Amino acid sequence: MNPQDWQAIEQAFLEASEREGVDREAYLDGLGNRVREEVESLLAAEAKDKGSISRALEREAAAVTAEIVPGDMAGPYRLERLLGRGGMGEVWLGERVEGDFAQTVAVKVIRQLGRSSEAAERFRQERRILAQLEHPNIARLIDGGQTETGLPFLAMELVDGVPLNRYCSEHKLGVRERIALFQKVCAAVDYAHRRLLIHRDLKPGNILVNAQGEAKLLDFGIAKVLSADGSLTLEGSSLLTPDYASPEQVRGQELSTATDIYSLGIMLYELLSGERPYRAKDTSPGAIVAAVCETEVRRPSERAAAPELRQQLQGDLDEIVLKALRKEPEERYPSVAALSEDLQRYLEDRPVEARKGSQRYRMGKFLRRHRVPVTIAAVAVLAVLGSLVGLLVQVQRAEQARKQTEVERANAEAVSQFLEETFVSADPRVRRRGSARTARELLDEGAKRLSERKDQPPLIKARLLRTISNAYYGLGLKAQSLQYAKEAVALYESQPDAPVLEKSAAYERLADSHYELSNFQETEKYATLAYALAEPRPEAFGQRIAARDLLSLTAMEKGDFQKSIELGRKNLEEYKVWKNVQVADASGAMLNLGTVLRLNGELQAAADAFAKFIAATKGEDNYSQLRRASAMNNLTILRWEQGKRLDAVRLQREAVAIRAKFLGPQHANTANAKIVLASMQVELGNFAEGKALLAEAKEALFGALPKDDPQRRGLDGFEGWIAMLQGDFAAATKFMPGLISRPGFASLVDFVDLAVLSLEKGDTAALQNYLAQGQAMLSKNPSQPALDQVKFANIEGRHRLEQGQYIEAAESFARGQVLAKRILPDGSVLEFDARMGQLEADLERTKDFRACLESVEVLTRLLPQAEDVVFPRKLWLGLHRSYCEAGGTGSPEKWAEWERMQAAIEQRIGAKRYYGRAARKKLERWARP
Amino acid sequence: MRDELQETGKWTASMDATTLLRRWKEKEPGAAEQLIPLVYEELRKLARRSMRGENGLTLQPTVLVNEAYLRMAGSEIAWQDRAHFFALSARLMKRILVDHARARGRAKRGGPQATLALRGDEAAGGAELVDVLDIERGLEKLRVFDARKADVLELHYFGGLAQEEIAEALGVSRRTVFQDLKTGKAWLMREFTEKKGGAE
Repeated sequence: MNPQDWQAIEQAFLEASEREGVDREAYLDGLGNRVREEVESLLAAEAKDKGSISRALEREAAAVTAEIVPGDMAGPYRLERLLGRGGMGEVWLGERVEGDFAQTVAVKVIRQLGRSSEAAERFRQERRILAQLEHPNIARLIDGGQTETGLPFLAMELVDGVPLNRYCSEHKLGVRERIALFQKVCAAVDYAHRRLLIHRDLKPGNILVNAQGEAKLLDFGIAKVLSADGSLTLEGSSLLTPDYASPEQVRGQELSTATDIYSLGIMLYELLSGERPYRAKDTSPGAIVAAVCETEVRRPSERAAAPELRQQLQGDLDEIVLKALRKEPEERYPSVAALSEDLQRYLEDRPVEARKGSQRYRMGKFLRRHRVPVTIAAVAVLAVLGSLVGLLVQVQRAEQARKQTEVERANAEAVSQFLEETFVSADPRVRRRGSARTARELLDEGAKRLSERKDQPPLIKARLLRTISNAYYGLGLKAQSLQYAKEAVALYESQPDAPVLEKSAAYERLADSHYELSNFQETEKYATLAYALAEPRPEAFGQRIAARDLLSLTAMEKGDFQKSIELGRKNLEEYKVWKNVQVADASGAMLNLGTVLRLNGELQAAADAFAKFIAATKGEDNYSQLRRASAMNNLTILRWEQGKRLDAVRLQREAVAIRAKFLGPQHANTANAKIVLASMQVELGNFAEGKALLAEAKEALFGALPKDDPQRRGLDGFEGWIAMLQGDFAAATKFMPGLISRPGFASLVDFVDLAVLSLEKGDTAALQNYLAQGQAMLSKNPSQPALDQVKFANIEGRHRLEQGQYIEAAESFARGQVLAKRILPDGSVLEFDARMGQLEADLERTKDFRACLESVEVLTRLLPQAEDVVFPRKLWLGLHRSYCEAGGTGSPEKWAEWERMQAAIEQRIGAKRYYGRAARKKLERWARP
Repeated sequence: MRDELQETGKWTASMDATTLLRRWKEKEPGAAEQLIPLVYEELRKLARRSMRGENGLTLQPTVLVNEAYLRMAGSEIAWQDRAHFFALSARLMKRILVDHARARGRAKRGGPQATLALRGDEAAGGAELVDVLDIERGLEKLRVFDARKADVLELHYFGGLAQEEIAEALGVSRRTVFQDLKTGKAWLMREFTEKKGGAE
């Protein structure tokens, strides 16, 4: 611009700005066009001035302020170059420039610390604690203070190395070497934990390995001191590396040492498989929480690329990693040392704890009646023979211990003779036909011979009968077991001089066999007799407990949970008193106690009981493994109910495999485990696998079960239930009533399932009938299994909803919610269904779309845990959402969306899936206005 | 050895400042050249330190200049000299901020550059984004045809000088300073608005 023009413009601008309104207009009118334009634009610009220039300068000045530049001093160290940036600040290479010696350190300048004096105190405290950490695998704290520009800093030992994961891949370390290196990291973390310090930000980048192969843990920067109770609340959670953060961390919950164990677990996962267990879709808090808290972690072996590696990881290492990565802190390893020790066990080819820890679980509708045998004989030939030989040894010992008497010698001889005959008959060379005998054949022959022989002394015969009954029991042959138990008892009862304890044991054997066949009245009768004999005799420890256990189970079956729990606890008490006594079955009561606790809705207590059981059952022998399989079975269903479905399926597979291996595929216990697995597979929508398993189980069981055995009908009912889920209502109607065919045997959940079927069929009369029967059962005995009560409330709500009784329906669903919340973790399937029902009831009643939309939001958050294949909850919820949105806004796009949802639901109905009729009715009611 | 030098250097710097200021005030040749790096360094350090005061209030360049003056010269120098010192400091402060902004710009090259948003009411909200480099460019453009106005704005924004002080430092009347500020600000604001509107 030319200076003269500019001068003219400036003059005019100053003149104009002194005038206002019309006055200014008049002045501007007097100017030439060009000048006027300039002046007007300047006036307009001036009016817009709101101090933005000053603010820009302030911003820049503030940025200068926050900067650290080479040459800045941190105490005696001159900052030379930036090594890295982290959540808490920056790390610089520092050279010592004061004093007599050269020293290079890593200077960590901390920014994220308030300026208050309280923050300064916290920093000092942390520095003091860090100064106490002296461990070869932790970078040492050398100094600390304030930089010349006033920022707090820590001078740390400078580690010249590469991050852990890079080191491993660059040096092509094998699995064992990786583990060994990882254990050093564990040692460092454990050392810090013992000083009540948790790291909170463990990740490969914070662990450097130097040229000597020594791992050093860096950056205790956001480490926090644990409070006396071992927990703390995280501040500034945004500083975390979400890739390695624990669920409790991303949720901002209280932290404990378990959070470091989790981060170590992720690192181990990555070191072993080469992959992260999961990745967040993006960096939004929602995506991070979803990834960390909701991803079902796959086994590391499934992620490994190389087949050899996959094989190496399978089993022990998978379990170790998964145990460290449990979502619930209390289910991880109790300490880093425990994790490291388990890895050591792996390295030394010893059995690892993690595998034991994951062997727990289940007991379902059918298995509820399957008692874990307290006297389970480890089957196979040796076991059967062993029990007979054991009897002989017992008698011989008795001979030695006491004065030899004629009677006893006769007893011993009788047993020896019997054994000899049996073995001789088993010898293939002696046999006329056939090959070597199976345990079963041997037992059949021995039993037959014993029954036929009249020359045996009655008490010896009674003992042998009892032993044989036991052996049949061990083989899962319940009818035979019952038969010989009856004979044994009859014989004992005919002998006035029968030893009290033997008689008691025979009663217990008989009670047990009756229990297995669901004859609960007889169970109670004989268990009471057994108990009466054992009760006054301190040494009758084993029988007393076994009898009490049976009484506890009977009470459980009758729904008297309180009594059952009381008896179970009493047994545990007695174990404590008698802990020196070697009784192999000592922990069986724990397992049964866990079962009844679960039925009573005390899921956590039940899990604890199972865990204790597992802890008490450490052996690697067949017997111990089988007992653990039982515990796995029971815990499987707990997991399932707590929403950890894949975990549950995995465990049950293992339980089935163990039983099939040691008991054989035909054994009743193997079949029972398969039924549990089948029911889960069906609920997950894997109908083919579920049915195949059920067919196998049926084949195995029906050979061994008497015709009137309720399990047989139970299985038919189960098949009917599968048919219902698949939309085959005809088959369902035919078979499902089998569930309640025997009076006194039906349970609340059976009525629930039948009510669901009636609802699906639209058979209101039947539905009302089943609901009434369920209600009668509840009134008669209010302590029905808690989970079944939730299910009952939900189906009752559904019925009322269909009847247009919206307020009553809402009441039912509210009851379901309260019950579900009391016993299940947040967001369980049952809670979801209850809330969903409530939403529907509210929507029908009030048509308050906005309020319902809020409920939809809540449900959407719960959805990830509740969605499954059989009942498309996601679609169902989507339908409600679009209906609320469309109804609320009336916008055509929303209605179009609603129609899309409708079509999707229709398609599912078309596939003849469960819940079709209810959906169809709903769609009819909700015709677009 | 290097360490010793460093120590000495530091000591010399603080000794020199007072002497240099005196020599500069007496218009001794070469004094300014020696003084400038010292003032620059002092300002920069001050800037980086002052944020961490107990209060941590928003930092203004002009406050820093004042503080630098007090630290380097004390209250001995007459106010006319103070004005000269401030004029020098203002220029240096501008350089510090511009250097920093450039370095930052380089650091995040490839990302979207901070753009200017100065439309109507938005300016009062959070959307405004005039940065130091815009201001620097504006001032240099203005300097081409009205160098005095550029100086006045510089002293005002970067030095925090009062109008009298600006008048003294530049040897002009207070009224001129007033008018220069008024017109200069309006011109700068228009410059930003036009830049935003795509006039350039």
